[in-house]
Amino acid sequence: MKAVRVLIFLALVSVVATGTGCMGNTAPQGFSGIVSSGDTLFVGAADGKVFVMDPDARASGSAFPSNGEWEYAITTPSRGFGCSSSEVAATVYGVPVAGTGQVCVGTYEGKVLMLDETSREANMVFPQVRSGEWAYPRGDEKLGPIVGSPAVAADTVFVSSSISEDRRTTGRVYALDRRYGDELWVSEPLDGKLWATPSVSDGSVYVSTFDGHIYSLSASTGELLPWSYEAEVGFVSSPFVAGGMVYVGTFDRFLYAIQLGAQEPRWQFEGENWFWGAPVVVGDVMYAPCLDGKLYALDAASGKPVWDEPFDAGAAIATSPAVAGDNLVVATKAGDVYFVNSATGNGTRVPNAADEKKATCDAMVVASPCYHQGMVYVRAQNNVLYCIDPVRKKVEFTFSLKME
Amino acid sequence: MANLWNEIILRPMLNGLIALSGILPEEVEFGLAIIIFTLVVRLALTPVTIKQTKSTRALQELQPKMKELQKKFAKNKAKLQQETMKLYKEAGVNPAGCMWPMLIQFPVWIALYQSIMKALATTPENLLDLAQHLYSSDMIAQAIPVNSHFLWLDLGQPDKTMVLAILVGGTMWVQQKMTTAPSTDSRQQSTNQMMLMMMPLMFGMFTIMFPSGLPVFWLVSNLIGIGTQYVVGGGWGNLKRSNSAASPATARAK
Repeated sequence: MKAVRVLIFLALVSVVATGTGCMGNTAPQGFSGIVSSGDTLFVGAADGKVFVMDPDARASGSAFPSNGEWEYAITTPSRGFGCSSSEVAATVYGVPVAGTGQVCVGTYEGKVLMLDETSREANMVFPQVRSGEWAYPRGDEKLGPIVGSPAVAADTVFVSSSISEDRRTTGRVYALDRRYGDELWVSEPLDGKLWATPSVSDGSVYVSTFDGHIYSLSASTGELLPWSYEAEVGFVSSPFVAGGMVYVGTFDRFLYAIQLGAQEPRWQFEGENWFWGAPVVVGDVMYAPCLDGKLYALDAASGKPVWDEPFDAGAAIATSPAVAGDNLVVATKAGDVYFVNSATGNGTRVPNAADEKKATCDAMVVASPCYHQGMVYVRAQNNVLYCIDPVRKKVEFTFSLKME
Repeated sequence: MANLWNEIILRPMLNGLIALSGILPEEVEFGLAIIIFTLVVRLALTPVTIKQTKSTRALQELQPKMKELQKKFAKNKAKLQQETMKLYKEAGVNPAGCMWPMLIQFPVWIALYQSIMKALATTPENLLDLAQHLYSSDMIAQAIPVNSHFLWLDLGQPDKTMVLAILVGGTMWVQQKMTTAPSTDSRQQSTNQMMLMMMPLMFGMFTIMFPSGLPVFWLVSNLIGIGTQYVVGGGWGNLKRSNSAASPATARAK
């Protein structure tokens, strides 16, 4: 009897541990980030929420929402065991795309939403079709998980998504009409998981897959273009296209620079872990964050290191650096935020507002920082927005995104 | 403590699992790696498992004598305890002998489970976390991401067909049935019966809820458990006995 009791106890312990994520399997939480447009900040938060905020109002401590501010919670039908259908919070990984009074978001549950700022501020029922709001696919239909951000070019929204069926995992790219959400084209299935943000350049859409392909598609028709690139290992990061080159990180810890149209990389640079976050290019220099905790400055043309030593943040950098004047803003999984001089590679850590010894933020940072009107904004996984002054290297204020 | 766990147990196991999947045929790589890895771990734990099986069997063999003692000293608990301990000593049985091996195995199962879930990296958070646990090796880099498809299963998703749930529940029932001795006490017998049903049902339900990589591990583990029990216990044990003989309660009624 004792044996049975112990067995039950152990089984229950394992179930509790599993449920709480102690066993290595965490439920999707999302790590959407911040983008600015005009005077406004657009923040993708936990629980499928999108916040639109006025930085001045937040700095002054005004009650949220003040004029022009709003929040919207994206929900999805529950997959629970209950008989009645219910709505639960959606999960957002990609950064919202904002512009012309609209915000576009893709969810892990497989929906693309276009939100109209005026309708959301008025808290009207979604979607206000006449105001240009839509959800794709319509009704109860869903795509596979959308992990990358949507890409908006002219009047088209591009998203990528992948599904597993018939013993294969395939990805597809979708092109949607920006105004009405109509499907313009869907690409043919592309082998491998597709978690990338599509990169749109000169009438082509570029995506990278986990099985080691970079595909180029016609932005107008979705047809596969003749050029594609195949590597021996999978691509872990989204392709970043600049100056006729595509830069992408692989699972074997390399950052590849491939000239569009070429079959061999122009250069490749090895880190000590994956290049997960997108690099940024300033002038001739590429700044590449790596999960080995370092920020590398590389000559964009040759891949040769520019700094004597890479900047070592001491913890994995999963975010893309933000450019703030002469500095690059780097946020780490340990929650620290650094200002790194782009010429020298020397960095300064921003201290925690309450305890200097602690990390800048009270939780890990996986969403890229945003530089807006002289201030840096960071969203940490505790769902708090940190506003940092790049001159004083100090947290100016925090704003909790955990609102009812 | 967490670092010690990661460095000594989790990382070697996780990287071993991924490296193994890298050398197996791509179509079945990770599913087969789970099976082989479970076999290897079970093999490594064989001495402990055999000890546990023997201890359980020895305890079961003492049950008739235990019953006699319980009848004899029904009103004297202290004496009963004393005589029970004496009986264990004479028979060379340690009642904790079937508990400790289980407790020793438990962390290994947790690590194996963690390894499977981390390697599958079903969510972006899991994939990001996986990066922190991998060794710097070309072999491992080339095996990532693992192919989560195996037979009809997507190992990163729950099995919707119920086939795996039935297999896990069924094999667990068989394994338990082989080791659960029929009791002469009708109350204990009904408790045993309830447990015999509850555990397989519970794990069958978990199978529907969890990514199927984990139930595959449970299934293989159960099958190895049945095999070990068959070899060490000398046959189907109580599974066959209870099928061929009427239950004690029924016998009494007759």
